[in-house]
Amino acid sequence: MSIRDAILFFWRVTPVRVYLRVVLFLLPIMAVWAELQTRGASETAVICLLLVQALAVSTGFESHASRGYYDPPLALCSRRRAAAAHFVASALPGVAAWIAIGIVETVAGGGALALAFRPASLLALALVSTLPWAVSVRFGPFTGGVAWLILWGALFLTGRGFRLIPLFQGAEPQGTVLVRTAAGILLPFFLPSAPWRPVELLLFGLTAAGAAATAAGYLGRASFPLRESDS
Amino acid sequence: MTAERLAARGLFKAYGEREVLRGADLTLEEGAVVGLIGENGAGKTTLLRILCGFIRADQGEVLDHGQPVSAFAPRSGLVHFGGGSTLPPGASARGWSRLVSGEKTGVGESRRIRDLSRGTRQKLGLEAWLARPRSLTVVLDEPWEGLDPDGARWLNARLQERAADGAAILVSSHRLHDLASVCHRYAFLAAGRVRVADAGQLGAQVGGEDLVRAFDRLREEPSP
Repeated sequence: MSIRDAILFFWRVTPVRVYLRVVLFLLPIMAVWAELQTRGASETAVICLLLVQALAVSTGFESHASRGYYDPPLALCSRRRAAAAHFVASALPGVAAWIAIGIVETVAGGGALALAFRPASLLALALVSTLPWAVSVRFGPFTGGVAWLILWGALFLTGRGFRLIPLFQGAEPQGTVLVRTAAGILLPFFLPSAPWRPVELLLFGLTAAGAAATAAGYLGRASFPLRESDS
Repeated sequence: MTAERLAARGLFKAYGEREVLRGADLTLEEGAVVGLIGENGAGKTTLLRILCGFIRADQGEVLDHGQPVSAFAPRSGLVHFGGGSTLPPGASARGWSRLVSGEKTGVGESRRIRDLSRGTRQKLGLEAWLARPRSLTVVLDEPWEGLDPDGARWLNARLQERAADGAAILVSSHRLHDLASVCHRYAFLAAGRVRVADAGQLGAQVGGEDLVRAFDRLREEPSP
């Protein structure tokens, strides 16, 4: 099974939920409307997309594989290829919507580098695509996205999230590299508009890559007995 | 001498305290259909899934064309169908079969798999997997489940064709009469071990009743 067929397989068998795809389709339209109202207002669409993408990529792997739904790619592909194809199929709708928003911003901005295409924004997308996907691979559909949403909710309900906001404000980066990096990973929707040091951007990239590699490594050594009967 | 396609050597597998396989050996050779027989919970599905690279055995090895392969490496030319319940209910029947069979048109209907009857689902899975070109090893779990008599005859004919083309075939089933119509050898799985008998050893005209008696006899014999 080629990587293309494996992506198509995961896309057909366990696609991103239809209501999330509808939201992802509507976000670039919302960006057009926002840009027509006020130039630069499409930041809202970017932030909304980051929130939706955390849920959209949480398609789950082990729970489907343990029912035998993923037997064809597991039988016909290497585990590494299956993991890569599953990630692409899960992240693709959000990435496509992101690119559409970036194009809207570029056109509205007269060719200036769109917010969606800035390095910090792309790393925010990478973080919200890889971390929830990696968690849901092991723990089931939506677990990664929901866990992150609960964490965000808990941070702001307890007031701790508000204490982190000054780290993302100002023209120059405030605070130590480690604290800012940790805060950025916890609250990636602040990444696009905040100033970041190169080392912090590198750490965001490494975190996203590490999450994807950890999940792929797990899939490379996971057994999938049938859940219905382990006989 | 026939060539060895896929083989298990000394497989051990336990789920917690429960030992399912205790030194199971099995060899699939080109052109031969092997019927895997065992009670519910004997470990048939576990053995099949270890052979196919979905589960890692606690001990033992799997050989692909005589060479040891890692637990999860894809087996060359493998066709595996685990039954209608392993088909994804939300996928379109035709789209799924197109990707599995590798054919442009695919088989089956445009309806979702969940909307198909049990027998139609089973036939869809078998048709798609058995349409794959260059299949060297065919591993099927309860393939006759839900098939009507015409479907069962179709499956028997396809298995015999594939065996004549040189495929090594392993079929796990409780339907002994159906097994008797296609198998050259039988692998009896009991107490975590496999005992193999040629169809000829069980009588020139092997029927389901003979298999039942042979299975009962092997269960009663002490393990070697």
